[in-house]
Amino acid sequence: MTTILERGCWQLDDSITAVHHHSNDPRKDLLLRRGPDGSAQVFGGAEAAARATRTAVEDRAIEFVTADRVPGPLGELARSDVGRRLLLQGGLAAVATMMASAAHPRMAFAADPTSTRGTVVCLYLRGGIDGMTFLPPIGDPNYYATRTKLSVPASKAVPLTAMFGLHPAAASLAQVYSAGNLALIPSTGFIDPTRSHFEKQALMECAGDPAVLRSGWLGRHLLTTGGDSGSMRAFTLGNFTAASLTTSFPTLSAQTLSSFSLGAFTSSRAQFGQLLDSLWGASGGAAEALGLLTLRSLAQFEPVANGTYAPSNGAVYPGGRLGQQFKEVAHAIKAGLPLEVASIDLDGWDHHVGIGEAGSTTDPFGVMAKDLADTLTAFWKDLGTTYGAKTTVITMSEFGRTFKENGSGGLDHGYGNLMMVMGHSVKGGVYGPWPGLDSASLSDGDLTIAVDYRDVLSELVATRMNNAASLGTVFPNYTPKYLGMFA
Amino acid sequence: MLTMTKTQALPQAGTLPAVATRPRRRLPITVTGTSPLTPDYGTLTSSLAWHLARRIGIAGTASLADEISAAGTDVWLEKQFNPASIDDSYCDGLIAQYQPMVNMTLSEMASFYLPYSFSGVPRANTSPMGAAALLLRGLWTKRHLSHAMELFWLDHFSVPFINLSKVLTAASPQIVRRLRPLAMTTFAEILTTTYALPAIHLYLDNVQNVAGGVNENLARETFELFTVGIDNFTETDVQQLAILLTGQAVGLGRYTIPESLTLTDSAHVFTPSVTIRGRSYPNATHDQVLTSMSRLLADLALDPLTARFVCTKLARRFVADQPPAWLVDSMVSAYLANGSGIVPVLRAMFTSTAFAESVGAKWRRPDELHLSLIKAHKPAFAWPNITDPQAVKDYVGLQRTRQWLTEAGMPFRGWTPPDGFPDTAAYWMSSGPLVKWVNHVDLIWLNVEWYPASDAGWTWSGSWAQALGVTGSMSYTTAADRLIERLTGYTAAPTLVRTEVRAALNGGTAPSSPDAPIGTAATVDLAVRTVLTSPLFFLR
Repeated sequence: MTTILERGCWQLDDSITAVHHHSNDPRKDLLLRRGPDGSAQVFGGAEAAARATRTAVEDRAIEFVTADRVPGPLGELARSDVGRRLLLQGGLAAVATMMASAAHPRMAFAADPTSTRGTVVCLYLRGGIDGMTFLPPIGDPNYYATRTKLSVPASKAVPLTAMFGLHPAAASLAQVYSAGNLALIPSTGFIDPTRSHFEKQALMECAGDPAVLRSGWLGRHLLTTGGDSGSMRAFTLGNFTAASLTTSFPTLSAQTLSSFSLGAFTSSRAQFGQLLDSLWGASGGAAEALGLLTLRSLAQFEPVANGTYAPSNGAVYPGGRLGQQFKEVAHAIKAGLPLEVASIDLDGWDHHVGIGEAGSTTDPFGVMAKDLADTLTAFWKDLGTTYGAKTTVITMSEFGRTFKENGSGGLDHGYGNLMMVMGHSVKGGVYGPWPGLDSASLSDGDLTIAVDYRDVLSELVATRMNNAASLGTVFPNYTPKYLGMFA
Repeated sequence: MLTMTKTQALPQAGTLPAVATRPRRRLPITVTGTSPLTPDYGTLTSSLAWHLARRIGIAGTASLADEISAAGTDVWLEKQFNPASIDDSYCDGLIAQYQPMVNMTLSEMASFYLPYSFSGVPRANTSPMGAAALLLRGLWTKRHLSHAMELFWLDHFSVPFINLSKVLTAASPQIVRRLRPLAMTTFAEILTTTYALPAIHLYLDNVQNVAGGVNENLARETFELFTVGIDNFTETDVQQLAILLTGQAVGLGRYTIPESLTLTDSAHVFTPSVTIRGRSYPNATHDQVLTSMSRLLADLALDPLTARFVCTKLARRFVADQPPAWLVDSMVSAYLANGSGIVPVLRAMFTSTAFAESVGAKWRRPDELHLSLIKAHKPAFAWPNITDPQAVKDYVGLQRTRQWLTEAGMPFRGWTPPDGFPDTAAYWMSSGPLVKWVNHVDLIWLNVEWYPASDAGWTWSGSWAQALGVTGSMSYTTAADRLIERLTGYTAAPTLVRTEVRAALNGGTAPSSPDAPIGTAATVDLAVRTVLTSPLFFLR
């Protein structure tokens, strides 16, 4: 089966490119398919899978069953929309499987072998976190020479190495570092000069040229490792699918899994589910894909949405939304859901103002840093070695902030920044060179990028996501240099 | 089922329809199209009146479609282009009575809220009230297009009213009050007024942009989000504009919201001039800064790149997620020929064949879904006589509506980044909000009142059957088609939707004789739930 990318038939309709750059992400864009005669047809991204991944054999199969050549109930079922889709996804055996499950026929999918890949949690820190405040370079005299007000004093930082310490509010992460499960890459990012949030986020989540690719790097990973077949593989904790997960089929998005439940007020969930299945299943296009995904996800996540959960190993998640989201991811992993990718957004890092007194644990930055660090630490504890060995967390942010203070008690949009990788299969430490903060080493006055962020992600995809074979598709036109972060 | 007949040719792009001297009643025009979002539904059919109602009305319902149809679509549109010609005193009166702060200056607020104020400033956070006033207007205004444009500009110059500590008490009601009268004027005037008010300066940190500490946030978004768009400015432009903007918003605070800003010389970075997008703007004296700021905003407003940026967003809002290039071109021409005038741009858009052919191409956002549902269920409900203090909080603050919108992913006037709510189907077609909607409809179907029944004014005694004009003497097919048309505006319903609605009218199983009378209107509620949870209701 060929994929969208291999066929190369999907192109950007760039008539309104400028406006699309202004969105948080490129997922809002529809896809344009050009026919041999140059004619164009626009589809929602959700519909792309059905249209782009169907082979000639499958087309003939659909024609066969829909032309009434298969008699009896099985044929009728196969001619239904449900059957057509199941035929696409695995043949008539799947139809039989579906028949055995009366209430939510489309949800009866076998577990997917790709679930053995383990889980990656991608946490995007929106707004541009100041890596040098979260992980201050306490051993670099230039840091204190320029950051006269907003630097974290070495006396208040939690030292990790001679060069780096943690912001005191993030102290809990020191135990993860000491356990050898936290990799820190202090000078990384995407080498593009833009200092626009929206453009840089789109570039990084696309991990390619958005003018050519309308998909995210995680989306292309899914597409090259089984696509939409089998069980639910990825979700976004947030109302809308993360841009990095954008691909030719939709993935689940929900603010929290506990809120993702159908028919809280109805007496007949199954009947209502069938009604929705029928209404949305006949629409075709993006609406059909959305309805299918939603019903399937509801069944898949029901144990998490409706079950109770007690964290293990004395882990205590912070009370806010981030803590709740990571707790639910842990629940999903321990419940045995074949989850490969969870994407979580945490915004509010655009600290033009509000970095606060250096080292203070009550300033706005410190409050956020504590929530972040305590959540990651709780997740690490909760999973323990058994689940933790199969789970990796990465953090990303669009750029670091200006080296110089802006006079408003804050920092403007900068360049190089921190990434973190956490898990029991991670070899802890500081990775990549520290380029220094002397004027000759800065880029336009700011911390430079010593490690392309795709080096970090490529190693993750190759090593933790078992997809080295598709690196050329996930990160087009890029030859990665691994840092050796994983055991 | 209503019979829709095509009775007049659709206006072509770029031609202006004649303005009628008096209202004429016209039969509705039929418009058709296949939604790219529901291609297997085949061709969708709608009256042009309904098409306008869905696109312009935030609560796009049958009652609005009927109003448009009765006036005649071209007459109705021309009146909407001139909002002052439409009597909106009922809606204005509601807002004056229940959300009066949106009409007040800060000092007026202080005296109005005297019992609740401290040291002469109101303690109450009026930001949610500004949002509530907008919801009230969405439900009761007659100036539908002006209101739609008001929301468009509030998205364009997006400032979150709610849930952001640095957006201040009185700034958000102020921008509602000051921008609304300008919604249909010129982009130059709207841009200039936006920069004269505190909100954008507070939100994008220009308050902190002073000599000795230049802050680039507002300067960057001025180009990227508000005018020429990305790739059309340089980092040097950002730095130069940031210098020009220094000292323009000094001293603003939570309760310090003047009606226009003043330049504080001691906080301004004076230079001989600044160069922005290749033009020089004198920056050596107080008066030069003010003149240069006015000139810069005018230059940006009239820039062809700004014209394209704004017109593309407008076409995306009202026509299609990917509007045809020729449509945007025609809108840009109208924009530039009329000094950034908004009405000529809207006229070029709404009278184009691209608009008429875009049936079902847009996907409703949560605010449009929810307000349409309220209006459809209670088409005639009037303002209540509120006596219950808790009800005042719930109703007048429309607290539950805002809560639901937040849960559905659209915190009303609370979008956190400065780029405004997304406006494409691919964004809003998402599983979390869909589940929220389905559960919401389910709750209403079970007759759990959205608003508590403590006040008779809010409790409409009628039924869905009464609201939508369905009786037990109608056949299953007639009743199903009427329900679908009255709730969504689409006629000649897709076969499967019609089949499911007929089954719902029969209690859940397909009727043996679809053309026989239903016999009862008791099953209408179930059928309504079927329509509201189908993709048809989402097609704007």
